[in-house]
Order: sequence, then structure tokens, then C-alpha cells
Amino acid sequence: MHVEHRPWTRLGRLVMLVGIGLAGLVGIVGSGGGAGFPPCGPPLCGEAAPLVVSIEPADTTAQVGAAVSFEAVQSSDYGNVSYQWRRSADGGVSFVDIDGSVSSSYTVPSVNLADDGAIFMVVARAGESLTAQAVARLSVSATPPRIYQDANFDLTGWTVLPWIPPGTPEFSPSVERVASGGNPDAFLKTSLTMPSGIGTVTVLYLSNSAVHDPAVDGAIRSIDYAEDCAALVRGTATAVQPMLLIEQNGRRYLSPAVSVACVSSTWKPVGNRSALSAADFTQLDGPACPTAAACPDFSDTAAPLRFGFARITRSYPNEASADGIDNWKVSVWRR
Amino acid sequence: MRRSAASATQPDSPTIVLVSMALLALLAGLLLYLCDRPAESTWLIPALPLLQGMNLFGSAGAWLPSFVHSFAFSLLTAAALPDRASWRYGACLGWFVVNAAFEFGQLPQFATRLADVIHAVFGSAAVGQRLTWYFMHGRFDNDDLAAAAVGALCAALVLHLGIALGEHRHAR
Repeated sequence: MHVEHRPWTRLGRLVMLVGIGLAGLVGIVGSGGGAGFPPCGPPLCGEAAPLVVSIEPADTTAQVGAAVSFEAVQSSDYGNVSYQWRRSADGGVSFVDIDGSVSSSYTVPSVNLADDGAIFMVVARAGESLTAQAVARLSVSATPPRIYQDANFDLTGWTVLPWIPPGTPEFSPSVERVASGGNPDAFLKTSLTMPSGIGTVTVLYLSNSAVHDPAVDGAIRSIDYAEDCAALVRGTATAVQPMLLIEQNGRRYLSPAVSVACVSSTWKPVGNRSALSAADFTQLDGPACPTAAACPDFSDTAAPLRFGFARITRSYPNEASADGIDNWKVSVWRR
Repeated sequence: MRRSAASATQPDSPTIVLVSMALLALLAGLLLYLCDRPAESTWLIPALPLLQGMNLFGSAGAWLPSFVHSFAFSLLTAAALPDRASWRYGACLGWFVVNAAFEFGQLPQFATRLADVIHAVFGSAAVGQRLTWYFMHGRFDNDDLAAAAVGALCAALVLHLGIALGEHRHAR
């Protein structure tokens, strides 16, 4: 025999169920649904992450006579961490401790050609059990780099191209030179509204004058890239990824993404990269690279390379954002 | 067997037990957010500096909210539903599905599209912004999914025991 224990009216029951349902949904969204929102890490949640250390810069090129500094960067605060810097002269096969180099940074006061190809390692220790290590490579050039730069951003010197893959909605960024407020003075400002239905757009900027012809200017050994970036208008979660752009033989290439995006309203050099080789670049578009060909080609028989920069903006659909770039600089180290 | 007129106006004792268990679980969840999580990580839960950083639940704090949520709301919903086993178990399944849907919505391939839909429905209203934030910033976590499943299963077990106990009493 079925027994109805609940005396509530149907309307009361319905109101109660709707209330419980709404409370449940608010509970999920408001609490973040477990550990997901925002990410909850140590020391409040979970176990401590392993000690991770990296070296800034990871690879660098310097002219003979210049001072070069490496800095060990920890993944998080582990209190007292000890360091030992080591050096390899055989391509990283064996390392020797550098006497007295036990701080978080290490400086080579004046590099010479004997330092070319040297690999430096830092060993970090936190307590008895946590250790981590990282390596960095030093390249030394007898000649100074060829510099391509712009800190004034006359719009006639640049070609701006929204990059729209097939099947994605079109968008029209607004690009303008702003006379003040840069780092310092003039800078280039790009404003856009994220199209509906996607969360990422790419804008390419090619310099009309920054062209390196290896046949004339010399084969490229490596490239250093620097720029200052500021997030001027941010949507709820806008992040801008700054990259170096190269165009050669109708193909365009992007430098690797940096781990920190441009999200600060103050000018920061978040896009800086050093010692970029041809292998570091990824082809964005253009004809497929022929078999056994170098793409991009840095050799002395290569076609001219045009430099620029790219901005990959991520945000919510329909949200407006704006970012600025100043002190754009490409340093080409030659063989 | 007919119930007395007095009991017809009051929730019966099995319902009180279910609601009490759910509220106790929710209380544990509230404590976790007050003691173990940063104040800015929650919405509608006030910050109590006295409790913050106590880390009461240790590593369990990472998955306990998902467990508590599906467990407590399954019991609350079952308590409000008509007294049928299939409806009660359906409540458990339903809350697991809701929790799983919100978890999967945090995957990047869904989050952007959901954000677009939310913007179309809610515009710039606070609820829409918070929903968008949840999907775009939250991280999909297998542990959360498993905890929600276990929470719903535990609720179903509690309901099963309650039903079995009720049938045993009726048989006597």
C-alpha cells in the first residue's frame, strides 16, 4: 500500500522545488563548483607544487665585451632557496661549479668569443628534498646586431592586416597613432570588438621599412625581439599575446608565445624574446614549405625578411578591448 | 494506514532527517569556503577574516564542494518530491547531470560558445557576468566530476536505506 507522507499542496511543492533548483544553480556558479573557480592552489588547497626554476633569459646573444646577466626565477615562493651556478664548455655534457656563484643571479662581466656556445646551469635547493635546475645558452658575436626599431609609429610606415582564417567572422580593428601616453610619448593603439561566436582574433602589423636582406646585410645567426605592451581597455578576461612577425617569400611566421600575456594597463616588456633561431618560428600562412627547405630561411642566400609584430587577443565575444605597443625593436645578430 | 490530522500539517520524520542531513552537508560546505578558500573565490558568501586560512579540510577541500553540492541538493529535492522511489533516485541523477554539465561547460571548446549565449540572454547583467566568469575562468576537473558522482550516489544510498526502513516499518 502506498503511503503519501508529504502533506504539502502541489503549488507549495512546486515552489519548493523551484527554490531548491535555483539555490542549487546559484550554489554551483557562486562557489565555483569545487576547486575550479578561481584556481585554488597551495597553501589553501592541495599539496605544494614541486619547486620549478627557470633562467631569464633562457638563451641570449651578446657582443664581445658586453656584460651578460642570468637570473634564476622560481615558480613560487619557497622561502630560503640556495643556488649554485654551473658552466659547461662541451655543449651540456658535463658541468663544473662556478666558484662563489651562489646567489639567484650570475653575471659574466665581459663576454668574449671563448664564451660562445657556453651553457650555464643553475641548481636551486629548498630545504632537504626540493631541488630543481635549469639551463641557459650564451652566444657571443664579434659584430654588433643590426637594429630595426620604431618608437614613433607613423602609420604610413606600417601595414596592418586583420588575420581572418577561412570560416571565421570578419572584424575590423581600429589602429591609430597616439601622440602621448606611451613609454614615453607616442605609441600605436589598436582597438577592436571581439566578433560574435569566437574568442580569439589575430592582427598582423608589418613594417614597410624593416627589411633585412641576408644577401646584402648578412646571414642571420639569431634574433632578439623587444617591445613594450599595455592593455588599455580590458574586457572581463581580455589577454593579449604579443609576438614577433616575419614575412619572407609570401609566408608569414610567428615567434613562440610568451608565458605572460599583456594584461597590465602599465607599459611592460612582456613580449621580449632573445636568441630566436629559424627553428623557433611557426608558419602562420602562405604556401607550404618545400621539402628540405628552411622556413624561415636565415642563410646568406635567403630572400629578404620583413619584420613586424602580431597581436593575438583573447576575450569574450562582443567585448571591446584596446592595447598599445611602444619601443618595437628587432635586433638581428649576424654570422 | 491514515495519518492523524496533526501530522498532516507537519513534515514527517523521514523528511526532517533528509533535510537535516542536507543542511549539515551544506554547513560543512559553507565552513570550507569560509575557512579554506580565499574570500574573492566565492560569490554571495561573506568573508570572515577570523576563519580565513584555517585550512580545516586539508586536501579534501579541493573536491568536497562538488560532493556536498550533489549530495545535499539531491536530498533536498527528494524531500520535496512526491514519495516515489523513482522520483527520488531521479533527483540524484538530475543533480549529478547538472553538476557534470557545469563542469563540462568549463572546457575551452564549450566555454566561449556558452559565453556568447549568456551574453545574448543576460546582456551585461551581473548574473550573466558571473555565469560567464564561471565558464571562462573555471577549470574542468575530473576530481570534481567524480566527487559530484559520489555525492549523488551517497544521496541515493541514503534514500534507499530510508525507503527500505520505511517498508520494514510498514510490514510490521
